[in-house]
Amino acid sequence: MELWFFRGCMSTFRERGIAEATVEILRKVSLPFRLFDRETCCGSVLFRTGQVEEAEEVRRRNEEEFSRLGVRRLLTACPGCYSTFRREYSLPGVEVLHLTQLLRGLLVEGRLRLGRREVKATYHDSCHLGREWGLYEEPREILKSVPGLELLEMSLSREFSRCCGAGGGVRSAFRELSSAVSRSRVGDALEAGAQLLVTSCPFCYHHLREAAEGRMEVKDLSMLVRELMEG
Amino acid sequence: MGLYEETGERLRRGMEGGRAETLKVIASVVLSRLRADGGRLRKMMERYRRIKEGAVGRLEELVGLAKDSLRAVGCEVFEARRGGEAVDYLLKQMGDERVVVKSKSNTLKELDLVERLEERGVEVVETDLGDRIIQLAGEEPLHPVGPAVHLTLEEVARALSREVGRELPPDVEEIIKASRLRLRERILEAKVGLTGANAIAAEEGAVGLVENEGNISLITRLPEKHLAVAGIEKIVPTLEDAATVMKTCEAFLTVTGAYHSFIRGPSRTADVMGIEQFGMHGAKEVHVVLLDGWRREAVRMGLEEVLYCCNCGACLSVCPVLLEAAQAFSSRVGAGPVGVVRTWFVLGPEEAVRAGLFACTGCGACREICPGSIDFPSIIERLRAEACERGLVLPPHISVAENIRKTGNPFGERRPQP
Repeated sequence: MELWFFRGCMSTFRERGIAEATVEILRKVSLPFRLFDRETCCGSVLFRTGQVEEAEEVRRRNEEEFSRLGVRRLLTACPGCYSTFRREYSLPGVEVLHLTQLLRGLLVEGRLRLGRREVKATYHDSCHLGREWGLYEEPREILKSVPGLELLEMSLSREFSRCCGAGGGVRSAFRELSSAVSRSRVGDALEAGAQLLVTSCPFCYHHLREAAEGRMEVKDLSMLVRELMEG
Repeated sequence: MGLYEETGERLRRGMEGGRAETLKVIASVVLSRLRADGGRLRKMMERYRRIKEGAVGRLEELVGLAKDSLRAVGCEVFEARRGGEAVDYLLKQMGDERVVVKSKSNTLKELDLVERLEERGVEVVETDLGDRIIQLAGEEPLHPVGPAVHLTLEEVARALSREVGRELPPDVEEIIKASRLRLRERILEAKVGLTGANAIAAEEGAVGLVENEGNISLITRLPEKHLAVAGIEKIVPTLEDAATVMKTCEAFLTVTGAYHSFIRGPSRTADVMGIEQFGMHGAKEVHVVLLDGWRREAVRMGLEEVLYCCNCGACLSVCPVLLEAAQAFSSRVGAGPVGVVRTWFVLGPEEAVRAGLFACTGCGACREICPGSIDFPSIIERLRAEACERGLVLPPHISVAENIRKTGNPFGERRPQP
């Protein structure tokens, strides 16, 4: 079944590296995919900030577009899009996938092999991916498959993971508060003894990298996987 | 200053206060407990949730049953549709009394009862030590279950010195001892004790109370009159259910132990010639106010999950916003996610915005630790939608919506060529 990659606004406008890495991973594993010519926002930010009417309009437009194009398998690199498609959209017969799920599948099938990287890393759970959909293990399995990578857990992880602070429209409305939360999160990662903070959310990545201010390396999982892919 | 700017300013001040650091210490307590004994507590949470779902599902029937049973054991019962009715009833019960001894209660906060009593010249003596310190220090409480933990020993000693009539040293044991002796005097002198309730058993007609200090035991026994105020969501079918609610609540409090009491009417004896007399060792009169206020409205809106809250405060331990902004993410009726929701209903949409309705990141950590698994992110999203309908949408969020409408993305930028 044809795979459609929905790049998402953050990866298109602010963190293009994530969309690029995803595209390159898909090419390298020879997984055919298509991109949307006229991709528009999934509406997540509107739903989260209570702007339901506008959000519903965006939802209807996207649903029609997906149906017109015959989309049956929808890939996102953004947990916000992923969650919105699964929760607010009505997409009968469409399989919605987050990149971490796809990567884990490839790992299990032996189609994804990652090269050595000697580093102490920790994983930051995106709220939408973890608490909302229980995708805690997929990204960790991918990280554990990296030879030399030591995966450390922060004291607040999985269901009690501390939010990066960007969600729910807080970053756009109350930037200082939002940044204070992300600085605390980077603090959690440093406290765990990690050199590398990995997440699998463009928003978390954008926000945490800013907060890290060079104190530690921050990467989206897609970027790390692209760097370490063998073959 | 507009509502948005005012909220931003409040949050900034909250972050500057330096109190968030103390909150982080409290925060780890419940989390560690949950981790150490996850399995047992998870089971308890499931049982608790089932009881609350069942009880709220048959709310009207249980309210009727509770009224009958409480009256049958000798309580006076007053049903208040609105907060004002509850306040009027309680003020009437005060009569000419000038002192009331009080325990911690979110429902009493909701009624703003302390203020109303003080307006009438009644001295309200908080008997929970933390609340008493805050009251005497004239401070804002930090955390509902640890209101004074941000104060230093010196600050606490200073706050209590005048009340105990001598200069207290900054020594915790001295402070506790002096406070205990002074509070006992105050409790003995008072004719009225005022409490909330952790649970009401409908079938047996019992008011359940959980406490760690013992002040509730004293103020419900020593004064002649005990006034208990309970939101109708506190009603559960049986005494066994009430016990489960209470032990679950206790397990999620910062300090666990020490007392659970069930009060089934006034103290009584028939030891003198078999003549029934009331008020032997305990209260002679027990009044139970069953408060609706906003609770039926929440059910009508489909937000009945809010009524599963037992006020344990566990959600505050994991809230990333509260841990930074401290009491700025709250109002006088409560802190954190549950406080914001309660603020909406008690004080209205604008106050909810001021308390941080739009400061929640929707992360859902509160839902994970909540014994009632209350889905706060969904509830807050729903209230945001209601707020937007009332024109309370925040300016930056309007810009985002405009950008999406014009360009298809929240940044309002033209799509780069792939």
